[in-house]
Amino acid sequence: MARPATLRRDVLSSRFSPVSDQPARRISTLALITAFIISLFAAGNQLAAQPQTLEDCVERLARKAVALPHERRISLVWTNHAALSEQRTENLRLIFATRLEASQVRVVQGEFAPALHVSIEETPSQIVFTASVPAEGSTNVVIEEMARSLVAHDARPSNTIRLEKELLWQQEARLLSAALPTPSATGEKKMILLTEDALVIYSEEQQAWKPRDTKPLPPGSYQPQRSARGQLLLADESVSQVGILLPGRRCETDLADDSPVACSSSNIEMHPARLLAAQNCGTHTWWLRSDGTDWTAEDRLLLRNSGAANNAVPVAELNVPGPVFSISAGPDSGSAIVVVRNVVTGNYEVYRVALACAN
Amino acid sequence: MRWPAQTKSVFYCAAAALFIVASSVCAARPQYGGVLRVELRASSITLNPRRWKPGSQEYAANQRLAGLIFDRLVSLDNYGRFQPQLATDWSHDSPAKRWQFALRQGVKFSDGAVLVPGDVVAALQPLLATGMQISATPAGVAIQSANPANDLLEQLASGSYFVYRSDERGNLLGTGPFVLENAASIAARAEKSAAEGAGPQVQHLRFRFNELCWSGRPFVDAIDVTLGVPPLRALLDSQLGKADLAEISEDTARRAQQSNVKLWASSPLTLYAVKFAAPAKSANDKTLREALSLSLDRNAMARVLLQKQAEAAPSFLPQWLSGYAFLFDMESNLERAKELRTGLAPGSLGAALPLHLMLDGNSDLSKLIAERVVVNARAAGLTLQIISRSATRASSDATAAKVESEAQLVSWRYTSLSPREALENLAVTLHWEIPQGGVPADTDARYAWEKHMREQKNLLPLVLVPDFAALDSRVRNWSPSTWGEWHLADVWLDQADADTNAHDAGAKTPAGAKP
Repeated sequence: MARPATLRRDVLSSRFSPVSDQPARRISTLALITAFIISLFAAGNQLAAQPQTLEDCVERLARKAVALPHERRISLVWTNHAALSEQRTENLRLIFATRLEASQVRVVQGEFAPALHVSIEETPSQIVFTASVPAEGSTNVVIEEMARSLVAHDARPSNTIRLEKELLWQQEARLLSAALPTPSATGEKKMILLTEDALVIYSEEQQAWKPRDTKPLPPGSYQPQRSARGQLLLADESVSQVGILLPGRRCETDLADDSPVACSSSNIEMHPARLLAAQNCGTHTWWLRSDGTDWTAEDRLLLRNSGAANNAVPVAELNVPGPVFSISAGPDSGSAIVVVRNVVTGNYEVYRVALACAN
Repeated sequence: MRWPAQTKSVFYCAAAALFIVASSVCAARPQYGGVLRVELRASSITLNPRRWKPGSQEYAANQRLAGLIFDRLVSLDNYGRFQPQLATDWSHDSPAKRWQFALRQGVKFSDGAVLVPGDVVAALQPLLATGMQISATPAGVAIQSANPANDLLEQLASGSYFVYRSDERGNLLGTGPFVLENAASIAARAEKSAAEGAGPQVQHLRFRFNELCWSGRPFVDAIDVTLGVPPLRALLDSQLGKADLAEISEDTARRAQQSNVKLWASSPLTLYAVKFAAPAKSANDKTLREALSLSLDRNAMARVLLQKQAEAAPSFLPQWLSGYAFLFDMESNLERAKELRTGLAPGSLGAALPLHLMLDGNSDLSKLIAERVVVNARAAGLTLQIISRSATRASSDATAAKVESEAQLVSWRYTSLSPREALENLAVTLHWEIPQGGVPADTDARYAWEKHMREQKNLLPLVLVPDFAALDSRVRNWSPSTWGEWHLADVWLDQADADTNAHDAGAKTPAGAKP
């Protein structure tokens, strides 16, 4: 006898099979107990045994990660340092996120939520998955691993990563750093330049940069010309907040108002490097650094995998016409703003350097 | 018939082009023959794996040379796959406590004797950890472990787990690609040259190819090994074409980078650390260690002091081996270290009394790192004093005992591909309290244990340094593992390149090389 259509529809999303049309059989209590013991033993064995697939490994990691003490909302930071293809890694990330969601942990993006870092690492014989959540004064960590030999080889797609540069600005006066904030909600594009004594803000009008505002650096920020250096920092959560790192000082200002640049002493080191990621380049992240020549020669920008050693072979290179003075934030995660002193003209040039990927 | 001049010239050009193409094709093919000249820093070697001291620098040289004459049951390739060596097949039960290995048939030792399961049992039983028992089976051997041994293949593919046999005279014989020639006569020759005033005494070893090797004849006829070569001389020998493969140090590696020498660097294999002689007994001890640890700028040591030839070490195991080292905090906080320093009892070690930091051996690198530790500590207001072991030996025994009770700058070389075994070797050598059943095999538990031991601050990891080697351009098929195995049986020598070099510079003529 066919079941009514409503009943069939009702069970479509159920984890259980639809009710059988056949009369139920009598099952002895002994058989039930035996089955229960066997299932417990099998489950125990499954837990003790090594995972046989990456998907299984990630499922296990997610089960453990759910137990880590954190809020019910997390932002997932997924990093792959193993020789796994982007597509495979993305699938694993989806499995992990789905498992978290199934356990009532919401994975949010672009919102303020504690970060759950998942990293895929490779040792000589294992693929190691770590999930970590910062806790008070330490980090809570869970780890899963599986044999590398069990990973079906899915060759990396032939993603050719390139670096492309676009000249945005040049001037004779010394420039220490430059940044391009994410365009505001109205679409207004700004460029911030850090000179030896001021912060100069430009906005784009009719495809040309027009000066909009100047905020002088407070007294005491003067640096000897030969060794002057500085670095602009942009806050992720606010497009108008700007930080400035100077030797021994950290300054802040808000571009949205007339507040002056306020400085305090600080030991934060300046890192002329930028971590880049682009959606069309997969889930990988890369460090963009300069090759670091002296101030008399042309330089190169080098792109390396974020987990690679500093002397590892770069995945992409880009020549620039002089020494690199700073590498700061670009308008998106896939680009950086680089200040270069052109050794031929002596001008300070601002470039937007962006990741470009093609299959 | 006479060909027009133009046709002739086209023909000659085509023939010349064909010749060039043919030559280049030939040059790319492996060539048999020649002697590979290797220079090592170690002044002596011990081929008996039972005598190797885990963590020691000599271990590396012993392991590399033993790998020329002995084989393992399995090996690990660069893609994370275990490859059959003397064992052709293996399996284990569900809890990974009993492992079965089928032995390769027809394998012979270099004296012609056939390898039998009893040889494997005799070789490996003394090397296996307590709780592991190896026995012969009809097809090969079985290893029974008291605890799950999921990392047994990693263990057997590295460290001292070589299969060998002693002959009647006590000589160790193997099934590997090379055989050690009469060491006695070579030593006598070295002694003679030393007596004739031919410079400082160096030890030469010669390994010739093993024609009975189951895996086939190696490409080179022999490997000439010179022991006890200082890194700078090794680099010069490499530049002058007197050595094909020369082990060099991190500072000579910088020089090599500036010259045209081909340079090889492994993953970081040696840990430098400050070891305290005893666990912290008092709150003052703990504060001192905390302050010292926070004062250390490991990144500056790696980047500036060692010119990026090393990595900062946040943990006992390196990232390439554990996969989780990056999760450890590097904890450098000079301000906090200064605060802690003010809490030290007046007149205590590190405050009024200097904490003696002993240098083990005469390594320049150890001295350099120790000096930086002292500088970092001084910035936090701590007083450290470097003492070399040789100096304390010269002084009274009482002084030596007192100094040894404080701290020491130690180096530790990783020799196992199993992170669990590598950590256990370190813990055993440093007399740490190990949980019942050994260092945890489970990764979560092992990470937690390593973190716990790190927080004890009995050992403060500083930097990790790779192995370096300079290579001559005629060395081909150089395919070492990142964990430092050289695979010299796969190397061949480009004889054409050697001939060219010989024409170019007389000094490049390989000493002892066969035509």
